[in-house]
Amino acid sequence: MKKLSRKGKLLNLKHAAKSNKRRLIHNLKKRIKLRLEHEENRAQNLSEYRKVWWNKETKEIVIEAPENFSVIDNAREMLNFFNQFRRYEKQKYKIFFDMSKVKQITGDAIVYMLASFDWHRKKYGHLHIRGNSPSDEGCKELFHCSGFFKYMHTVVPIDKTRKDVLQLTYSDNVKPNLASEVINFAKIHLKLENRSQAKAIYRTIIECMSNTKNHAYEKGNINPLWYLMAIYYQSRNEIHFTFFDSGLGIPTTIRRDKLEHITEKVSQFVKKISKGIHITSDSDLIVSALNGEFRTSTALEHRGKGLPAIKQCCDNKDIDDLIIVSRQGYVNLQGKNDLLPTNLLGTIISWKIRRIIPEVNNE
Amino acid sequence: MSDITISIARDFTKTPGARLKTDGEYSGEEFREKFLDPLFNDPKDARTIEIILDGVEGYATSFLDEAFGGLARKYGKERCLKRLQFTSVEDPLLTEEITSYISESNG
Repeated sequence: MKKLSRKGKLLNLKHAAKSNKRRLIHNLKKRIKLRLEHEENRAQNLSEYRKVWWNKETKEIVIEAPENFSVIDNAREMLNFFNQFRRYEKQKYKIFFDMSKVKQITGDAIVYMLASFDWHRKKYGHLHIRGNSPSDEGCKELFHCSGFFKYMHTVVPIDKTRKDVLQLTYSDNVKPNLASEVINFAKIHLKLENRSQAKAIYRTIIECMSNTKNHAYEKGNINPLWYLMAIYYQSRNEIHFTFFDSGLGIPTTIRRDKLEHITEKVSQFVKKISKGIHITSDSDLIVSALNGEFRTSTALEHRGKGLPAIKQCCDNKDIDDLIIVSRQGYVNLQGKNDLLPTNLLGTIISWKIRRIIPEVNNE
Repeated sequence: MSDITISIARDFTKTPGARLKTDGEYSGEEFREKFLDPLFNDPKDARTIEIILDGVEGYATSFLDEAFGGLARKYGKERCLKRLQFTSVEDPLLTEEITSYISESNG
């Protein structure tokens, strides 16, 4: 082999350096291209929720809302829907909520949607969403009059109201005057003559507000928000109330004994390595708190009466269809409990009241 | 016949709130400090007090527990049970509920 001169060696080194640099740049470009394609493909690939697709024209993820847009009636599908939203929003995709196929919509879903957006915006500092309204006229009208759009940038007129809808409102304090407004709403629509029913609603609302203020969020949280909405259904002569807080969830905040703490840690570990279940389920914990089994996080004997008081109202038939959804627990006091596959963000407390028509003796 | 009458609806509010003043307006703590503490501060004061519970939208358990249970925890349950009388025509079970909060307090 011909021996290279010093100059030749130097030229070779420079050439090698240039060539390396070119190769490095080429490899980098290739990796970036592959990465972008992979991201696109991942978005395009249908996930476990088969109603998500990538819109090439608008370059946003389209998530189709379930036909039954209700957390209390369709918890599993709704959780899946919102999990998809959270997953893609966290990755900073633009998202389009396709609500055109919604055929039934309830207050709890509207409240939960607003609270989810709020929570996401505060946690991640961004929110890129667009959406449409349901095609069904009844659902569309209800959605527009719910008060949801007061808190969004939208072309929908925000002053749209309906007499049978007590618009979505929120606060971080106990508001007795608002509870009084809710009572008046109930009195106007249901012509409540039963005072104990009115007092039961008032008690339930104040207890919910107080629980949110004192227990729902981590200590030191300066903005412990709750959301409230009510809808009167004339055809059924009933009012559906929804109260929501996006806190840590009842199963997280209630007092548990050492054994329950240990079993929860174990079940979380088991869940990580396989599809394990909570040994003390979230539904059991919620039921225990409702039964007043000394679950107050304060560990003071004279506390922990709020949830039992709400349950008492239900037992007395002053309120109906009490449903509490928190973390993975779904508790229906007049129906069947359930264990949800994933966590709900916060706690939904839903109940109804129906007009009690006094019996008339025809003698 | 009681020596002092306090109507919550007339003298305080028709919309009672929750437990503490930090929770929001018209709390049980506020009611107790404003109306009941001054009547119990003097240990020799033995006047009977009638509390009229009617005329309000409703009561949260936390309001009742802090107002009356809190009073018992501060001044003693026997003293509270001896001096307080409750009137509730609209909801007779309220009297029983409040009495239980007083009796169960560690006062």
